[in-house]
Amino acid sequence: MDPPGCAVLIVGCGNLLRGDDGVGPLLVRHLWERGMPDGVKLVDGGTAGMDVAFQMRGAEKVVIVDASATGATPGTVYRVPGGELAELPPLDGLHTHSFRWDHAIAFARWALADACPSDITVFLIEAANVAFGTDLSPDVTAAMDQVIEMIEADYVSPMRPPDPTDPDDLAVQFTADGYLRLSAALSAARFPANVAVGAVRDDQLWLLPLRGPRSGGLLLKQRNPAGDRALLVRELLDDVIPTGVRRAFWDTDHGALRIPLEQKK
Amino acid sequence: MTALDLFVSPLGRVEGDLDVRVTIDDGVVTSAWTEAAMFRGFEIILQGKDPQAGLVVTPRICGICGGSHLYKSAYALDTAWRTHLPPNATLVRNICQACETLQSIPRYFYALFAIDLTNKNYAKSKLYAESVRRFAPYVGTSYQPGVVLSAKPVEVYAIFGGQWPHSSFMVPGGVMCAPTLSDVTRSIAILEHWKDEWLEKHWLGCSVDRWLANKTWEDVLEWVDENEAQYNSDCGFFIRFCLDVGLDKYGAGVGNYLATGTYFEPSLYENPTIDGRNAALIGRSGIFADGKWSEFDQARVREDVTHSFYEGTGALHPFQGETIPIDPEEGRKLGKYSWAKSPRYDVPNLGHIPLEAGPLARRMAAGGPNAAGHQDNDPLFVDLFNKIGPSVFVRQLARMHEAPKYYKWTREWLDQLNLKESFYTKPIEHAEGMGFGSTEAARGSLSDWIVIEDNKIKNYQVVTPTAWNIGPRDGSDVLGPIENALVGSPIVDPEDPVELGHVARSFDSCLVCTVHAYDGKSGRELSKFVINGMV
Repeated sequence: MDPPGCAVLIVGCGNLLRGDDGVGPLLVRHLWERGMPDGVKLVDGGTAGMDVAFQMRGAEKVVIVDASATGATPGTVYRVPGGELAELPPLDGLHTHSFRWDHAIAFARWALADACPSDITVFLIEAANVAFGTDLSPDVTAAMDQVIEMIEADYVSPMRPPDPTDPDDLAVQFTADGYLRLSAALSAARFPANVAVGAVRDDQLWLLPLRGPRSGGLLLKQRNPAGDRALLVRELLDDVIPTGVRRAFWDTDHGALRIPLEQKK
Repeated sequence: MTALDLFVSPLGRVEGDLDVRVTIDDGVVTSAWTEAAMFRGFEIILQGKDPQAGLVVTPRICGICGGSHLYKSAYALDTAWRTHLPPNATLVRNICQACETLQSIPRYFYALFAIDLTNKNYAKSKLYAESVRRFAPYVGTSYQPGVVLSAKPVEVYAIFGGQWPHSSFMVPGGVMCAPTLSDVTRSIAILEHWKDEWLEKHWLGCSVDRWLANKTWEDVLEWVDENEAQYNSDCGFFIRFCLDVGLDKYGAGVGNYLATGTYFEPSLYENPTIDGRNAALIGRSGIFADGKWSEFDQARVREDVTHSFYEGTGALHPFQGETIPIDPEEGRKLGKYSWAKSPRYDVPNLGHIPLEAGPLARRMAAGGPNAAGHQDNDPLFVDLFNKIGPSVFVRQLARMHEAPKYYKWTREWLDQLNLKESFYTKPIEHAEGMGFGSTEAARGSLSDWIVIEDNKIKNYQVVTPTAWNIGPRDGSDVLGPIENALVGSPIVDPEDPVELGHVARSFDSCLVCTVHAYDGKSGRELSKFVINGMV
């Protein structure tokens, strides 16, 4: 009856209606937009703390992001390692309408017992302004970006699929109706959010990954259970479709996938 | 990265704070004031925004009943934009609203209410040791399964809504989901597990249908003694304990009730309108006041600000509602004492009076006359009201009674989904309109009023069950429902007035509330304690 576990669980806590208090849920949205690899689960914990505890069941590693009010300079980032979490607030005095990250961990240890993850890290971002209905302050926005990069480096990157080198994975195919087909390995490694922009330069089709469909761009739609994807490139090619298989290569300097349109003899 | 040893105090996060002041004379509460200590102003955030902003903002008002907020804000837009709702969409909304309430029933009972039953003031009861064994926080034999299994129903919500809490998947014209057969099968399995492992095994000690066969107070008493399983179930024990320590004797409240109802018969609400709402409801709406039922009409709702920290002294209908805060220091000079407004309802022949919202109000509506075939028609709590009167005990039992009832409904709605049909009809986004959406959160009627002008929100008012119940005195100095319910409570030990905890908790308001008890003669503060904490 338990939901499936995951390798990494990233939870953002806080209230989106209260300015900097919403930094946790907003950070989770940014991660969602850049695309998360298999095994990483994102949770918008909002203000439902007891349920954050239940979400931890079966996760190998847990990362919690929340706002803090210590009196430090706004935007200060605290990384509270697992070892420091040995001393948690006592369970008495908990309240369903006033549940914080430390309560959530204490409660999870009680409710989940042996199923409670042992690898838990908490990032706290010092809030500047928690007025109702305000946006994130500049200091907290900068701190959020910093925490995103730390989470990406330590927790997400190791989960990302390796760069494909197998020729079969780098082979792409133009179809007569104007789609470009990419292998699952290629699209997962290079286009984690499944969105791209494209242009034709020097007789090559360039595709650059985007973060999230909100920015517009071309959607990489899944076309089979294996996870192979297709995107519609007819308009980029002015309706001249070089039907057939091509070998794509990754241009590290430009961060672009480049596909020669003419078949090399 | 800061590498310092320091005490990191987390940001307190509460839906709001409530101070309750009571005066005690000769062991009895003689007056009470409920003071909401926090200005929130969601209505101000929403003004001038896109009409659909309420779908995102209002579910964040509460971490407990965000799904209920979404449900009523979607219906407010459905009525304002005159949408079409496919039957599947109505069913999914019903299922999710019910699952949020099914989560809340055991969680609130064990984690908030039943803990008070282990208070040392009851040590002389012969049932005390058993109460502690079952309900002591974290270690009680019933506490653990009740609290842990309470997480199950919202897993069903997440299957349809993508996430719980704070989903925004209900939109005007339907719901944003495309459930598969395996989603529905999994939902059924989760609900069955919750029903088998908590509802029947721990709470009832009998089948759901056996409990629901109780139609009178005598039926309930006979049910308790019918067999050992029922006698020793948490429900059987709870009834025996309440009668033993007298929780059936106080906390009556105003005795007048409001339910706006919830859950719709899909075929009767394909084109949602304000006027067609009552007839389409499954969980009925209704007013019960001064011994008479009348039909609920949103046009009769007013919010009074005479004793609230807002400009003015009058009462306005929410379509014309204003939220203009003033300095509380200035407000106190004018006799104002709370950030909550006082919702009042114009009952025919009785004028604008306070009404209690919540499970007992729903049960009174469910026992009213003229139920249609598709509607809840349940005489049990009208019988209890007439025979033993409202009290802390009856209010609790009303809440618990809804678990088997809503479980059954939810199972039926899951069976009615037609996965080949649509879940959404794209609406026309009219530039102008007025809408009303409402539901029953676990703790009572929750409603939105929206006025759309020039494609933007001109006015938005949210009236919560907490406001109905904790609102302060009105322009006629009539006490709000909780204020009223506290008056007359017997206090055995003024230094530890657990009785006040029972009364305040029995309304399950969405606030952390601190009670200050004062001696009526000397004005000395006798005690101060936080109600509503998990211990």
